[in-house]
Amino acid sequence: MIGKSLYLGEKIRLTALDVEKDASTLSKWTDQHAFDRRINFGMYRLISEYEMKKLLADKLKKAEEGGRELYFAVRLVSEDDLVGLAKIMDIYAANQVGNLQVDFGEPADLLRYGDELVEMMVRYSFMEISLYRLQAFCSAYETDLMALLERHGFMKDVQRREAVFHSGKYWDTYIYGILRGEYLYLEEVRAK
Amino acid sequence: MTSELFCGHLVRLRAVNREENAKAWARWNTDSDFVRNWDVRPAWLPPTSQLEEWVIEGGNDAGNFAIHTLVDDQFIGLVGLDGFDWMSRSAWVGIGIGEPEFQGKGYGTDAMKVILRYGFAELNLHRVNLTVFEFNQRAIRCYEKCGFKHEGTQREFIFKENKRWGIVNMGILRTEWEAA
Repeated sequence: MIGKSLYLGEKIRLTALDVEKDASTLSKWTDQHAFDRRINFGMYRLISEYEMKKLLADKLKKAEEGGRELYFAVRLVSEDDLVGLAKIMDIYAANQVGNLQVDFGEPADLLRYGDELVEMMVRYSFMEISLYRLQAFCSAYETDLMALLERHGFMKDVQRREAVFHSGKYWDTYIYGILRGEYLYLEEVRAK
Repeated sequence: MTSELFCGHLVRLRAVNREENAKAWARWNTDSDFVRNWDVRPAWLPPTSQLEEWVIEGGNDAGNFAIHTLVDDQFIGLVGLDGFDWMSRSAWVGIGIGEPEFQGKGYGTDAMKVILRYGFAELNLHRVNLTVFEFNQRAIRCYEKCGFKHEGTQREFIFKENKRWGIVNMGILRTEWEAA
């Protein structure tokens, strides 16, 4: 044991995705525009359970072969149901950079479990896979996600103007970033 | 009516010639600075067969265009749009002038203006994005001249020569292109 568990938090735990079991739940989440954009890069639409199984199987295969993507199912400590999905995407080993994506099926769960999930994922990124910079992309309408990232030390590095069309209008998108040194400093401050 | 669509003041865009363009690209690739100026991955020397695929497809829908000089029709670089998001009407642009004697003389700026006209006036885009490494000041000046605005920097993203460098994000909206 070289530290506390990477996968077990107080309220939530990270597990492997179970394509057969989780596809049905993830299919229901595709009515959320932001989640759909992060799982299905094409046209915004509802994805059936059948399609989701295929999509996930393809993504997990690509992740295994390329080694540039990591997927985690987020479940409550006390239950098996899937409440969220966390990913680290587009990992550039030479630059030690990756993109964090977190999604919850119920928007209220982001407020309930988001802080713990981001804390676990940031720790995993810097302490386990040795990233130097962790990024997160989001759209201006994702105000709860933006506040969550900012609470955990992410800085708004880039503002792409009118980069995404949703609900009848254009929204800016943001790239948030946190560097390993910034994370370690925050950890030090928290420990005091 | 559209015969001059792919024509600028210094350059003309032509359909790529798979073998010839890839051969030239392989020659430019031997200058490590050429690759380091635009590829986030470590510089390396892919076989010409891989470059042929890349030259033709550019990994995208519209593909790459070959940049030729107007004066003597010499192939000097590639420019292309990719990463289309048709719901948001946005795309990414990439450009590389490989022939050293044509770098820093306005050929890239001219080619960029031509591809922007194609993107906005023909493809009906709302926005064009690009990223550029912060050490590539010549390219940044070129993009500024074409009307791109700075939208922030992904701090300390790239690691090269034992230093970390940011990636500058730039974008141009249709209204800005129209006003230019």
